[in-house]
Amino acid sequence: MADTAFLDKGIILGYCFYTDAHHVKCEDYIESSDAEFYATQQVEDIFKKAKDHIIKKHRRAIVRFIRWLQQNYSGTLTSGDVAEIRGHIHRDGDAPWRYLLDYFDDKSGTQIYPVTRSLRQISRDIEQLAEQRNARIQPKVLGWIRLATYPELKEGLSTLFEKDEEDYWIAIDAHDLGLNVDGTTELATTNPSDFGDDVVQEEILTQTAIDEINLVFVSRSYSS
Amino acid sequence: MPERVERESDKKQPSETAGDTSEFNFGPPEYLVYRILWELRENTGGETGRTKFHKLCILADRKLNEEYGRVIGLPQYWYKYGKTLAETEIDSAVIFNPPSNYRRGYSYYPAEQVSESDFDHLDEDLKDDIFQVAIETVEEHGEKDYKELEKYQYENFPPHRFVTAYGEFRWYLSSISVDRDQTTIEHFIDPSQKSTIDEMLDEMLISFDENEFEEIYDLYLDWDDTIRLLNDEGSSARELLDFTETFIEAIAKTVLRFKDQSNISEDRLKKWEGEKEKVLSDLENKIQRRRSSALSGRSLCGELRGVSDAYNETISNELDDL
Repeated sequence: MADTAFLDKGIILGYCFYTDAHHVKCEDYIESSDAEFYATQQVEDIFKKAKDHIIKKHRRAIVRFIRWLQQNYSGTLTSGDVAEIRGHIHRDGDAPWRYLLDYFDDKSGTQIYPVTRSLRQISRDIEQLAEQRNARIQPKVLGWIRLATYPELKEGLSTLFEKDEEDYWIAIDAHDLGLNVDGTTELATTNPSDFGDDVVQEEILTQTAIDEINLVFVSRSYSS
Repeated sequence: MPERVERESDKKQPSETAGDTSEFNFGPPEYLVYRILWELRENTGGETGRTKFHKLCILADRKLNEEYGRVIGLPQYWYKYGKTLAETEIDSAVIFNPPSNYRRGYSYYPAEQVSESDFDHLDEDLKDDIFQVAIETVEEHGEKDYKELEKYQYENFPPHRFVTAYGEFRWYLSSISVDRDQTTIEHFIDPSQKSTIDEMLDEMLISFDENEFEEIYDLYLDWDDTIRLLNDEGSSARELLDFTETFIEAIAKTVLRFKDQSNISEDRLKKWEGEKEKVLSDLENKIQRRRSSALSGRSLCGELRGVSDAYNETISNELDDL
């Protein structure tokens, strides 16, 4: 690992939101390193917006779903009810659809009230975990203010710029950090679709002061 | 009985009122207001507060409409505590409202400088009906205090099932917070009351009309889960009541006073419209503050662990989509 790491928003979000082994990967990266972590205000702003958006989206979707349940079911859920409920969950529209499907897998014979209560607890656990971990990670991340725009890099990083301008500026931020601190610098990200691209990696590593790209992303084990 | 909508033509023509020397140009709404205040002063004694005066005007207007077939254009709208008179849309010259001697706010009386002759230009039959309705309304409801009148209105003329549900919830919280020993600072709710609270919140949740109240739907869902969270974490009935009042005020300001209003001027409606955005944003901030504070003292339930794989997959997709 490098002496200094510039964190992309996904690292902080992953640290805040993932559970179990997925969280451990992010936690290991943050906790077991001697590197100094940096992020710009822009990354912080994007992170905060994304964190609040994810929390709000899931909480509202769950309460909306509970409302539908209470309007349509009472007493004990039969296997027919459970099949119907699972059928009602929209794979395209409901943010929590994957874990709602999983949740209702074994709910036949369960009273509706404990079901709605525990769905509320799930949404509160998501929010509480994220906020607690955010409070834990923030003191570990130092702020970085980029003063130059490095227009000369635009051509050299053209593949990344064309893929995603927001990620281009993340690379510019990390480059600025690498130029101004001692030792080696890595860009830590959970975004393999942009930063995992061979051409993008080649461009970044040859054109900028970034010494390494660390893809701290989670491999998929669940297929939709 | 068919409705009769009172118009300018219901006022006498200048030739009919040649002897009038009134400096005012009051309409039927002002006459109703004047008669209600007059009856209150003559029959109930003591001071009449603003809310009671407003509620009685609304009840009188309803009676006039339903029993006498008269529609006089009394300006009114649904607000935090039910239907209320839009006092600022009435000519205030009929009202005398000095600061109250006994409570916060003002007392309401008929203005001394106004007399029956100031309404001579109005149609006699219409005046007779308003005169009679004011007597009947004050006879029937004049002894009720403002809280009883609020409850009467909520129970008898709610504009929506959800309004009834939140009204009942508010009175329940109010009753249990008052019944508590007021000498102690914290008033915790016992487990049996908790289940009543959950049931009442369920009734609200089921009766909420997302199409009718679309503008506040998402914030209502946030409020609903947050008040249950506060209840779970042991907030007092007084705290729950305050949090409920916050929501009721916001829904009144952003939705109900638009949906259930009549004879409100365009200028006022425009002013209300301009207030909406700030009301909603203030509500969101208040909910978030209470929620964060309640979550900071909560123990994790562990329910999330049961769906961990599917949840982590969901988060991976969320991160990819950023």
